[in-house]
Amino acid sequence: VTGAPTTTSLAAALDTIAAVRLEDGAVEAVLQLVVSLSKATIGGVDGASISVLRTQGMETSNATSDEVRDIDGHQYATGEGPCVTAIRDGRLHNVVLSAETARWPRFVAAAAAAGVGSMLSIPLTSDGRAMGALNLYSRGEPVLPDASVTGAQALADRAAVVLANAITFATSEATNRHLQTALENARLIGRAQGVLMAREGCGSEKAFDILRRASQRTNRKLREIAEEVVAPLEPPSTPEP
Amino acid sequence: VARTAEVLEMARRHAGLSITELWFAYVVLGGTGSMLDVGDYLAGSAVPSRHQYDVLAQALNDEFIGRGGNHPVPYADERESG
Repeated sequence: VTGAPTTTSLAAALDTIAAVRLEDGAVEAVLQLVVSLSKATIGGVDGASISVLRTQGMETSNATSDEVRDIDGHQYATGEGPCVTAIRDGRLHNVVLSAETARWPRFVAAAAAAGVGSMLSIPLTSDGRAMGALNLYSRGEPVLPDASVTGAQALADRAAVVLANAITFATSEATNRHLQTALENARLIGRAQGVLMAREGCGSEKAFDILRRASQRTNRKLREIAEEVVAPLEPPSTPEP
Repeated sequence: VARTAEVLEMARRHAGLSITELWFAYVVLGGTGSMLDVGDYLAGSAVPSRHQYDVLAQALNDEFIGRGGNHPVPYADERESG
């Protein structure tokens, strides 16, 4: 069963990925496609998954089966295994697990119980930073041949690009939302200060003082006080019936 | 001078805000110092005006209000009278 993928099948697989447009939910679809194609087109691979590094730790975003998710889980829980190591050191690990008992005792035992013989983990990197890993599981003992590793690397490269784009997009979306809110708050507070300056015949610092004293008296954020100051001057948001 | 910096820096650490985050909140409230100025105020290498100090105190207090606190950072007039 073990063998290198044919050049044509891999090229076709990569074309399939390139054809997927990155719209809502497409990231998920592409990553799932990468694990499915890894299993289908790379000889000797019995299961595949993608691990991603999140703020709270690693997790499996996509897998070809629940068994694969479970084995991934043993790596996250023990901090041992090719996947967590690849994410940590940013290098590819193509190993026969029975040869790694000294390095990863707990994970090797769990993997052996699940019938895994060898594993290839390729880090998914962007700007030299590992965002996750593509993991290929094999029931067989020999490590995957060079041609299979090359094929897997090509799929990992695609997954890394998609993942990096998704992370950049999510980060910029969050930043934009944050900036938008901040800008609205700054405008609101400036307006409230203007109202108070006109009403009290004072300067902007004194107007701020009035706002912050009200904040202190009522233990509410300055923005909420500012809202109340400008509210009587705002047009009603809904017309009266 | 040292105490002004200590009060602000201790509150910033307690609030878990980076200097950038604190500066950002301060600017939203109308603070006019640069991020470097705010860094200097926290380090004690520069002294904010009463108003700039109060805006920084408000930025920190707003953060604490969001977590159930009640204005733990004193304003300039409270510090003078206390």
